[in-house]
Amino acid sequence: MTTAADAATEQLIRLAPKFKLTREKLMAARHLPGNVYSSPEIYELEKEKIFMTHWLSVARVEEIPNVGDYMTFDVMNEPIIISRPREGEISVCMNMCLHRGVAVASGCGHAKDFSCPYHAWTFSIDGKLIAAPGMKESECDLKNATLKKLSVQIWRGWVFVNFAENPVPFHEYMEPIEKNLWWFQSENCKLANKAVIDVKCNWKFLVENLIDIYHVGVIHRSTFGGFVKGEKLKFNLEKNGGWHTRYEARPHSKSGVQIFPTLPWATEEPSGIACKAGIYPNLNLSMRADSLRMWHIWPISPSETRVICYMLFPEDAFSIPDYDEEMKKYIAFVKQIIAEDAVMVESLQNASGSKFFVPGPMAPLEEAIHHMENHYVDLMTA
Amino acid sequence: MSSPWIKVAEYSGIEEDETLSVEHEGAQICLYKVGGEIFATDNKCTHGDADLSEGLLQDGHLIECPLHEGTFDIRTGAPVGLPCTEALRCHEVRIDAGSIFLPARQP
Repeated sequence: MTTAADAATEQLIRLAPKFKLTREKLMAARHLPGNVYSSPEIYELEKEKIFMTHWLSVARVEEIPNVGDYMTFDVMNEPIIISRPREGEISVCMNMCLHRGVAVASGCGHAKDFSCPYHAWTFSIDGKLIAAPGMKESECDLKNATLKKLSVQIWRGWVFVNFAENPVPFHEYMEPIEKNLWWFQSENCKLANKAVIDVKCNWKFLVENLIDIYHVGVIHRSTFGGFVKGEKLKFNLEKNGGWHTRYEARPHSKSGVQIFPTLPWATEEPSGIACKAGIYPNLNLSMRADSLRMWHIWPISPSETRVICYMLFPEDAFSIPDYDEEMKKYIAFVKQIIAEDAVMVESLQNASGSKFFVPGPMAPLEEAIHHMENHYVDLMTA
Repeated sequence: MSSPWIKVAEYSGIEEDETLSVEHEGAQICLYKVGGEIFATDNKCTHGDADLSEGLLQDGHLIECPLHEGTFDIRTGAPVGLPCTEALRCHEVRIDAGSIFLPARQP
């Protein structure tokens, strides 16, 4: 009896000749075949091979600022509780009651403990079982029982988790790209807002779209457009599927005028500075002279994805006059960018399921996409 | 002059090691009989949404809440077993001629 994983592996084997074309050098390479963006079996295998093994950013520390704060989150149907049980400590555990698996916590807020809504088993906010009513005569040893804990790493104000039993040490994973992120001082910023947008396409189309600068002059003319000349942009490709780059762009606002104060660490830089980086599998880091963003791309199904864009600014920005109005405009600006892309990526999704779709050749500007598509093949066929 | 104590139950109306919930001046109170003595606390647990009168008396003077099985000392209201952490309010009790009285609110 073939499992879904077996079926996926079989599909990947049959796709080997197409993967070979992606593996060619950039100028001769072709994009990945549609199947990897539409196959439900390959999607499930991606969860196993990629999302359940990599370090994933799931929250900002300021979303749970005080002892007793908690929030819930979900990574491809794996529910987790992120909490602050003590000063200076953040805990992440599986949100599944030790009795029958019901989610013991919901939403976000402040709590002393979680009482499972089904049979009232009660857990401390970092997952220790403190009461199992009605179980006095059970012979099972419930002393020291806890909700399953996940590995946690706080990095520049982000809460990273890893679902693997023995994850690669975080610093080892980040090492290739860490020193190149001088501009991403998110630990010196505060979360201003989150834009959450659901798009009807495979997660990889959005990850790729976020670095597809090739389309900027065509699609985003009215938002932040202007063509990016290939000669002016160089991609730095790193191990583990990461990449980073720097180029010149218009300030990141509808009017093209800089609204928020310059980042304290960018005052010596030109006002049109734009830096970008990708951390595999689903993070896109973006900087302009006055702001930071980190886009998180979360798979919901083979053809549905949730985009969460965290907008960060240094302290100063929050006290500019008309802050509320300017922030509203900024959020609308960010959402408009995704709306402009959504039409395209949803069309890509449609083509990916068609037997008539033949992957086309990559453009020189698609160097980071080539890097990530190849890293994907490495991970999935290992 | 009106009496400062209000009758809420008969002494013989509670069994030994049992509870009885009564209403007293708009509040729900739980009465307990342990070693022949009567104690009284608020009936609502300070931890979760449950009535202590539906719980079991344990080890003498501990009332165990039926919802999460946390415990309080009925003599002082002190929280004893997790997950209870907030003290329970106790009430003075007077027995007179076979009846149980609780203090009336001061006018």
